[in-house]
Amino acid sequence: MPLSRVPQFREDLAFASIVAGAPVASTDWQRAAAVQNWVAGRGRQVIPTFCPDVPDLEAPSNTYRFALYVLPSYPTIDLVAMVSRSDVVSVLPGVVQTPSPVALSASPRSSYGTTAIQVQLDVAVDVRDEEIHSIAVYEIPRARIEQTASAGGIDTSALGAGQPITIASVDALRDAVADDTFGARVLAAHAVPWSKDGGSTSSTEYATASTSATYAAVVGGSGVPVLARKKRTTDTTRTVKARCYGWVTGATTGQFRVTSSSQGSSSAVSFTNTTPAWSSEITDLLVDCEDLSTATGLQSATWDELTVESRRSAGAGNVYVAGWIVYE
Amino acid sequence: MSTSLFEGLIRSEAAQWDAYSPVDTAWARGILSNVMHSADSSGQVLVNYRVNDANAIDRVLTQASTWYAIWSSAALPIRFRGDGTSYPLRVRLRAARGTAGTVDFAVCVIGGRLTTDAGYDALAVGAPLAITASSSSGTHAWLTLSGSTINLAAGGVASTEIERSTLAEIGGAAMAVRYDAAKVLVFAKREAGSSASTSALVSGLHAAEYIGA
Repeated sequence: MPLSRVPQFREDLAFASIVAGAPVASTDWQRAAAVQNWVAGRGRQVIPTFCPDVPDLEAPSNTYRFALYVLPSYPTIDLVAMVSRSDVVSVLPGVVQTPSPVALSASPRSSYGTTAIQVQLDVAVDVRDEEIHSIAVYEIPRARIEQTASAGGIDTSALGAGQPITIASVDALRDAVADDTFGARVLAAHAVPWSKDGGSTSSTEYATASTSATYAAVVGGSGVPVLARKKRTTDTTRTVKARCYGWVTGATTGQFRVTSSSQGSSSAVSFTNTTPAWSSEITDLLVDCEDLSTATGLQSATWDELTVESRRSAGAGNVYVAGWIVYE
Repeated sequence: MSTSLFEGLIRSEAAQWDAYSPVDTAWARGILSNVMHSADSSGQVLVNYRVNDANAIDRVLTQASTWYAIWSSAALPIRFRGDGTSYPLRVRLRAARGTAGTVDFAVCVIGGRLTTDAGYDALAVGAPLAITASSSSGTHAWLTLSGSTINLAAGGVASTEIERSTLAEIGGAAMAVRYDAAKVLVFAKREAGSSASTSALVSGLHAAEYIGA
């Protein structure tokens, strides 16, 4: 499979020199192709860094398991999880904890694709109680990517000087840009332990529990900043997706809901599984998108914030939520 | 500093795309603008959380007027613009002070190869490497920072470049890949006159790459 180099740095184009009546220089086409290779191959932050919304994790000899929903870029091979933690006894106040890598069985991947990877991240707490300062997962950029529509790699040599630039020549570039999964953002994600014995049994110690028929915020879900990518020129909003990691007891139906403060958009999904699992997908949540003409990208002075909630909608049991994700 | 012509993707009519037609300049400008917009908006959300107040990161600031590094992200991959500067990070910080007194907070960004100590250099420089806010309230709130974005020092590539081993392709040979990374740090100090038991509480942080206006 032919591979295209992924540049370490992106380039810009001088549109002032691309004018009607003059040919477009092959160097401009090649530069644009390199930028597309950069977008497709630089890797994404698939779990934005978060501090779990939990008190200290208790010792001794517990293995806390966090569920993370990772949506990889098609050409990604390696994923890295980073966790920072400290015990609550011996660490001096004010001493920052440096994140360390945690092995992921899902990396390196054995095939390309965008199918979600349901990661289970274990944190062993052996001797002293510990606090978790951060969890993050990112993709290691590729050095070269495949010249296929799925991978998004463009053959820059096909756009060289002396060749007629036909629509066939630039079709791959046009198609790649139309597929805006390249560079897609995960807007927010959160997880707390759903098990303290490494996954053999679920634990309700840290998950949000609800028996109420009224929505209440779940872990890490009370006013989370959000700002999505802008797609079309006149867009001020973007439709995004969400899932939760939850379960119920007995013949109960749980509901998970995400609300956008700016748009007033709200969408919910139901689940009835009695063992922890990722819910089906909310697909129609409307949030603010960037305004590229402002210094901050905000549509107004007020940030759009997400409220993430759960409730019991039917039955008489408990509803538990131990994680969620909002993504484009 | 959007680098596209239209600050968004423009649609093209597939039926008009005949494989053997020449590409005129108008078509070219549309395609090339779309590529640049795709790159402009490819900035990622590096940090985003908001926890309940009771679960905030809590650090006692023993010494007055001394910056304490209280939180650090991992060295996360970042993007550089075509002019060689990093994509600025759009930042928010939710915090409070723990006991009576006033606490100054700072958020800064340093190269991924650097240790936390480099954060003190960023604090000494101030904007655009670091932005600050002050809180004398025990009630958690998103603070009004002295700026809305931070970005790496110009010429910071030497401090950001990381080389890692990866695979050339799935199941392929091992090879090295170079990329740039940065750490987002949060510092706090108590102002003179505040109690030695004054603590800094951090309950939310947002840092996302943005191409800039």
